[in-house]
Amino acid sequence: MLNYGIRNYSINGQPLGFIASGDLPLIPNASLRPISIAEKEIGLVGQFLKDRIGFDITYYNKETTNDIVKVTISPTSGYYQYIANIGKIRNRGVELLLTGTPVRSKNFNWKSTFNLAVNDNEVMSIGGLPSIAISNAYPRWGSEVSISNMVGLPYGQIMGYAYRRDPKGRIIYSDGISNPAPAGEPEPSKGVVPLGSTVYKQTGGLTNELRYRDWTFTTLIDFKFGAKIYSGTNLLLYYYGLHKNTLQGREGGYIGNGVLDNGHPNTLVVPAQQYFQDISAGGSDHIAEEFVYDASFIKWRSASLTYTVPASMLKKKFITGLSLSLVGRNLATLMKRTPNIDPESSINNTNGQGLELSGYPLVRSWGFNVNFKF
Amino acid sequence: MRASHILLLIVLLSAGAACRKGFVGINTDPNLITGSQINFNYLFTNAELITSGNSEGNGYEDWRNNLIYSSCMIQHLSSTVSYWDGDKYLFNGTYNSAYWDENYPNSVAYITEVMHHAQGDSTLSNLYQECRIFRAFMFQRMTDMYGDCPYSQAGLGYISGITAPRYDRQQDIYMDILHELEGAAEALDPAKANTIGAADLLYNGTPQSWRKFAYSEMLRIAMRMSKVDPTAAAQWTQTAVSGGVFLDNSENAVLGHQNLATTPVVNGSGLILLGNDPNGYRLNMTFVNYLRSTQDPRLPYLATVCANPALAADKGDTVAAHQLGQPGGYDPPDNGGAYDLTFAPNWPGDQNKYSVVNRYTYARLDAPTFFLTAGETGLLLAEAAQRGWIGGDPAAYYRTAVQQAMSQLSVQTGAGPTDAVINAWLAAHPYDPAKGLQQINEQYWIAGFMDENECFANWRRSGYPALIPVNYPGNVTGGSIPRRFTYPQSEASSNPANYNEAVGRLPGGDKMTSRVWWDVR
Repeated sequence: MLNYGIRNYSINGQPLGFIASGDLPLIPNASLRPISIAEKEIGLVGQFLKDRIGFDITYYNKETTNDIVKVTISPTSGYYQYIANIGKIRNRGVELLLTGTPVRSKNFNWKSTFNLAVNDNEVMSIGGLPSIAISNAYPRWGSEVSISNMVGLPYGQIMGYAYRRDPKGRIIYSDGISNPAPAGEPEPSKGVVPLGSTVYKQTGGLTNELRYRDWTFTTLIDFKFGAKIYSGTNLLLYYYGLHKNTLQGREGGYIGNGVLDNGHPNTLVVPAQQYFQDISAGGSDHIAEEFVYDASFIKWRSASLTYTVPASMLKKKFITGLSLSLVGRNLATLMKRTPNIDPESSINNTNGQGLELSGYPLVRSWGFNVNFKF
Repeated sequence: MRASHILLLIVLLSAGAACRKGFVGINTDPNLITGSQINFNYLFTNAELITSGNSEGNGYEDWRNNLIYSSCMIQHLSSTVSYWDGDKYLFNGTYNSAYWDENYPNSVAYITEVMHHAQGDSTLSNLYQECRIFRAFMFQRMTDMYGDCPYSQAGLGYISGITAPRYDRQQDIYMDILHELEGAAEALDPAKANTIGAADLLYNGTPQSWRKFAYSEMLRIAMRMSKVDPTAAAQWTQTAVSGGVFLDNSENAVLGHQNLATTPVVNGSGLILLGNDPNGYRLNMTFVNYLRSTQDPRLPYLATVCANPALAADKGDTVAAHQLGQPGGYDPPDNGGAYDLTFAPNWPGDQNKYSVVNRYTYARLDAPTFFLTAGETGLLLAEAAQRGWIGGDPAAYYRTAVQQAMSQLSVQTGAGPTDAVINAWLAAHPYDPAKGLQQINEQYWIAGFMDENECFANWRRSGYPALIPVNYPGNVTGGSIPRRFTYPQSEASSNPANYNEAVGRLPGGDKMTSRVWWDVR
């Protein structure tokens, strides 16, 4: 049933009523049911050589049905979303954990842990709809870009205009006569298309711990692969001519590398400012594909060096344990494929991840810890 | 021992029962109410308020559509600030769609709920008719801004489960709202109960006043068809006139605001002009030059020169001779580019020598919002008479209309010229039938000041005043003044079939240069 509220202010003494169903007005559903999850899982754990080497491997196949989905609808209906048991999603994958102790002795110990998770995710049904946009998952810039779920594809697709291409995959540029875009500018795809999932397919990390007498050194490298990100920062850098790519054709004009509708190579010259502004945030023929990047990365996430004061030095005084550590976090990005931005940057906290705009990257931090035990 | 066990069991059992009993209660928000408890009048009040343009309390849609776009496109205001895109015909999708985005899920949803509630209840007949009239007004503005848009299926998400409304053709919307206005006006009955009373911010629910509003709105819609369908325009104009339209400012559809900061109760445009973006714009040279060249007595009440417009307390110098308009299409002074404001033909050496909106009248947090006025109505009557669609002397209509439009300032806006001054001006600037349509619509352009979306529509219809467009690099119109606002980009994914069909009907697609149905060349 629809709920209403009364505003906490009034006009000339008259109360102001509103429809208050959900955080964003939502069409309520009286027949919602709980979701169901069916999961099959098989795993194997092994330890060898007196626990020097071990593994833990799991395969799972999880199907969520009757998933409660808030479906974004046209606000012209008077509401932003409706809620229904319509989702069916499958996640299947493998989780692997390897542990090893290459060196184990009285004074020196080296322990190593490697974990890897591979997940294959597919939206199997959205109650007959081909796709739905995730609530609030819109970037500030770019035509009709959203994060949507599309049947048959992994969760969280970036939807937007791609370059229109000929059968050989070459970009088609407008001749300015038979196409709506200005001459020499790329033609957008007919309608928005999925440009890749924003959910990582492979994630994992490698931890090493080395201990020599009272000194311990720990380090963690982690990685994520197989997701895309839509970068508002790079879009604005294009718009303002601050992106390296916009240097092309700055003197003499830009000629897009592709063909015209008739198949002949494109030779039309466009002033570089006009070209790069129109495909980013000027004009109305924005090409979202240009700003979709591979969000894969490998990062040296943390390292610490700890000195534990030997118990013998403390005798049996008031303090029973004391350690000193130097800790560093977010030390380095060892690999990334996103120019100018951190691939982990995000503009919102909804389920619609994979949108980025002028966010600060994670900062490298150094700390010094003193740990007392009483 | 045994007795205590039994006692424990009883306690547990009764706790369990209480838990089940509390289930509904725990899932009911104590701060909200349901349909059997809400007073639907409160939704009507809010629908009226939100339609005035400040749904979020920060002037959101007034800022974007009314000021940044419409006011600059029709050269009431100008701006050198980068995001005032209307000054240079630059494109911003979310600015274009702001009015749509804020009204459909708020005012449209509310008025549709009230209509649904009142429909078929004979004790609420007058309220139902008033809903029909106000909804017609809301959609006249919506379709004038965007063209084809959801109308017959809009706001019915809960009532009918329609989540992807069809886009009705503008012609169909126009025909339907004309009939709605006629049907509602005829059905209003002073003998029946006025259940809404003071919760109606326009007329306290008075049926006779709503009837005049309905026929005046009908006249506006009829005249909007003057280019595309003169026959229908003439016919509906006659229906409106015989029904009875506004003759006096006391009949205006005007919504009063209060200075209640950060709430929608504040006038949205006033908030931007005085508080949120007071230094972002100036009056346009076209507008100030026109008022000066015609010795218009409203100039000191529409303009002021502030030493520092950013200070709300600086009400400035309102002497007519000191007013100066800033031309459109320029960048800020001394930015070194080709469009540097210091290259303006009338550059006074300091941007603050250009006028801003007068702070005694329109640039106030409690300035009223005019939905429809006697001045505008009278000017349309003059045009209809000039075209021979209604009887009467166009010069007489014109004279009365300009009197109303000018005196509206002192009567309802805060300060304005006296009757003696107005009559003297009219004597010195008589109506000239040879250029009657131009005179009438140039007056409309002044009378509708701050109802910028309406001025934009009437300029597109009438072609007056003849405005010279700017041509700034990167504009999306090829250096012509835009002809409409574009749809929200989210519609492509949330309502794709209907959106694509509507875009397909637009010559040239969903662009600011595409013309709506009534805007034929």
